[in-house]
Amino acid sequence: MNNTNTEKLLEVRDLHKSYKKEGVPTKALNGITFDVLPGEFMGIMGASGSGKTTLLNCIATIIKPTSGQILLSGTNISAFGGDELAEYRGNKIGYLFQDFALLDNLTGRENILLPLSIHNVDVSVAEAKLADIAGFLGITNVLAQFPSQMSGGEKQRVAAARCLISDPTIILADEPTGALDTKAARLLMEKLQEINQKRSRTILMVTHNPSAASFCSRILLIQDGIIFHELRRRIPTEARNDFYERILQVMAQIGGGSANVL
Amino acid sequence: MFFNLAWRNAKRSRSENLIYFLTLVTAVASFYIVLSLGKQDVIRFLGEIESDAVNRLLTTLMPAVYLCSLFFLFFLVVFANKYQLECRSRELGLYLIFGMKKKRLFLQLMAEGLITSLLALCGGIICGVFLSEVISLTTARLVGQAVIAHQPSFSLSAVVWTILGFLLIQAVALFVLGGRLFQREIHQLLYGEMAKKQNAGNARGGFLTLVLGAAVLAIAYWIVLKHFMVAGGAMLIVAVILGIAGTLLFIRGLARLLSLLASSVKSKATHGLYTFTLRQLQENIVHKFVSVGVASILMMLTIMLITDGAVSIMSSSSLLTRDASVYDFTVTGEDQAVEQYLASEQMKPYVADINRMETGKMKRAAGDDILGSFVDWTKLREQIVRQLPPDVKDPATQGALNYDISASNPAALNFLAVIDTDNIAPNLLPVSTYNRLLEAAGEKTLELEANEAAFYLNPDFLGSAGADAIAIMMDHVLADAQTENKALIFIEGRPLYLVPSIPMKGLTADKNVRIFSALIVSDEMFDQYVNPDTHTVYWNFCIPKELVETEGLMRSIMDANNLLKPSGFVYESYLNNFGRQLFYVVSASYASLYMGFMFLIIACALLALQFLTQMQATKKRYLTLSMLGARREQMRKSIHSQVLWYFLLPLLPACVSGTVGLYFMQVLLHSPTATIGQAYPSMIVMAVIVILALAVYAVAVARTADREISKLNWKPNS
Repeated sequence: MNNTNTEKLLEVRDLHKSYKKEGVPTKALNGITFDVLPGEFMGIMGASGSGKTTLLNCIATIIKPTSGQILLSGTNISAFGGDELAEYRGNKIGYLFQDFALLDNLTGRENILLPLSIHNVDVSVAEAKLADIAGFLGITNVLAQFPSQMSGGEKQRVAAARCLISDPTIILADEPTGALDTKAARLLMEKLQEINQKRSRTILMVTHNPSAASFCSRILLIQDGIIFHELRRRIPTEARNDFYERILQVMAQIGGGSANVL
Repeated sequence: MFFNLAWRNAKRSRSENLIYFLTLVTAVASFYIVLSLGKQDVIRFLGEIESDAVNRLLTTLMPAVYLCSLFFLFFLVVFANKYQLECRSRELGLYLIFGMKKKRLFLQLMAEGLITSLLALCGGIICGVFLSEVISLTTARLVGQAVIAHQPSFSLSAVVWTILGFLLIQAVALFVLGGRLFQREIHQLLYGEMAKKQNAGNARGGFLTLVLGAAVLAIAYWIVLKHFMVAGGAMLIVAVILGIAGTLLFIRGLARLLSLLASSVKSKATHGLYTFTLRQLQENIVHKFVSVGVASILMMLTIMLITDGAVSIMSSSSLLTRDASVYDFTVTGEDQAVEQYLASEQMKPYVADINRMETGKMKRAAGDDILGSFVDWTKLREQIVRQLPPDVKDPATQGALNYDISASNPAALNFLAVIDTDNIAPNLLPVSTYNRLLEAAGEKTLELEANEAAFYLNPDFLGSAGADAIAIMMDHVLADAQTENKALIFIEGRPLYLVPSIPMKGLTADKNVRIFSALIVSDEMFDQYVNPDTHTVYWNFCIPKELVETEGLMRSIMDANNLLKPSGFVYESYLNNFGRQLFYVVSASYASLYMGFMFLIIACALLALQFLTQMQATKKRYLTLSMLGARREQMRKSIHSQVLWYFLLPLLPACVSGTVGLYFMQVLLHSPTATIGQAYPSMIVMAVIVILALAVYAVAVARTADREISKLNWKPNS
């Protein structure tokens, strides 16, 4: 989706993250700076250990950066704690896990309603949202089922519905197609693209899969904790397959990636 | 290296899983308490009085209780170790993947188990010694400190047997669990079992299970209450089987009902973590309904056993008091020989308030007197019948052949029963004999005219049936008759005026002399009417007060006992009676209370460990909740609700079944309602202790669960 709004939604400034492994410091992020504009579908790619998941986890507040700033709509989220953190996680971001992270003792319906339950949203409002999102993602038929009774694709779409139901400012997706077969992965990416384009949701997705990345409008390539390349899709002129080819070319230059086609 | 690793792991297990360690300490303390029973003050005392019975108790019953404890505590230790190994499953998988041999890992687990066991033994034995001492002092106080001199209850043999028993069950438990653990694939150890399929079942099925469970329980209750003696008591076994099946079905159905509640209460669907909490609870109970059912049954047994123990103690308190008992010894034998022996120099220091007590039945009338009796009770009966409540009829007018004496009866009905027992040939007591008894008791003596008598009721035998109430009612009737100068009984047609308000005291120290009631008459009337064939003389005496103060009652009686032994007379001491009664009370209440508390601890530990095992398996859900914006407080509240209901749900059927069981025991043991009523204070104390034990475990579980979720990597910089 072409973005015309230039006000920054997410600003990442000189982000550093170091770990100490048996006393030896290891730098996972080494000064990353970038912005995400409202309505963007941004991908973050990189080989294993490049720091892409660490970056996403910093933004999701799962881990705290060593230094640097993360601002969402101008507010520094690194300083959040307690209720602010709960509010941020519950209403500002939607997190799509690689392993779906559905609670297997709750039905699909209960899983999707969970973020609203946590914030005591009125049940009639919640039900209306649920009906809308379930219809949009084609999961109405699995709402009464438990996760163990669903296919992988259905689980991830239920997880996506859970992300969407609280109307988050930004959706963070960590390898969302990682546990899916090709068909389910493609269906999911198409849905994510629709969420981005038709429902105007900003998405920041970590993936190592170029095919999944080709659905994005912009891709940051990370290596050794720094951004070393940025790719932009020339929307609407560039077809997804052409963008995919360009991603492959860049990955070939740095020597990595996979040629899966969704 | 091997020892260091084992030591470090054992230390970590103790600090991380306090419930596991405390459970082991509890198991050790339980062993010690039961094994050191022989050293407790009361049992020591009973050993001197009732040595055969106590020896039987210590040599047959206690080993049986020990083996029973061993059996139940084995399961407790298995659960504790199972939870511990589940928590460490990933770590054990890593050891294997790094190339550690299973044999070595098994040895390491055994070494860790040994270290933890030795520390649990130290803690448990210290706790056991302390608790044993508290129990010993408490029971000694209950029985009467003056009677029993306190001695430390530490027992070396109990320590040895505790160590052996505990190490044995710990080794067997680890052996069994270790074997099962190493049969798993390394992948399963590393990543846990494959997620269990959620099987909530349909709501209708759940409801049917619940109804079926309730129906089966109702049938079990019906059999217990109405038909337990059918087929020689075999129906009781049927009731027990139905009770167990009913409880399991009921608990399973209850879990399904929770599912229904979670999915159908729309208004609460988005009310905090309401749905999540219900689902967690439902999952916990559905997957572990057998354990929860077993915990419920153990709780029911706890309620029954602890109440029974409390009732045993309280119902016997009247037997253990000296309120009515005056004499310390009763001797029978050739009249002059006994008199001489008791007056001898060796016995003198031990004899005070000597009383040659004569008693006997009244002669039977030879002519046409009423039913062959000299006594006509008609007027007295009429007066007593007037005292009956309006809704109670005199059973004699209803065609009943005899009366029942019961604490639940009105006093007047019991009085009629007392009169009816010996109405033809009542027991007679000469007033001089009774006056000596009153003098010994420090009471005012009686003065009877030739046409006067007093009605005597033995409080030793009517205590539980409300001797006080009968005496009050009788005094009221007699006082009225005295005011109106009306005779209520007649002997050979001559009026005999009954004197009210006389003090009632136990006649002898020997409670085998079962005189429930008697007419105290003038010595002349006694000589005239006593049946020579039933005339009996009991020589009663007390230990002098000065001797009791210097030597103590127990020592003095034991010394007097030793002096009487070679005499060849038949004799009985207050302590013999007291000891016999006490023996039954103590052995019954000890066994009941011990088993009750052991079942309670096993039930609590079972629930606690099951909950934490499930918590361990599902803790990642809390990470997801946190990522969805749930606050720590919300999650803590949810966990606390889960723990509360996880403990309460099995308690509810346990309370109902326990109440039915108690009623059954009351009927079976003929324990009067008044006795149960008397036992209310101690029952309330026991209930508070049970609730406290449940609360301690529930709080420990909630705290451990809180700590588990705190460890999750959801917060920045953690």
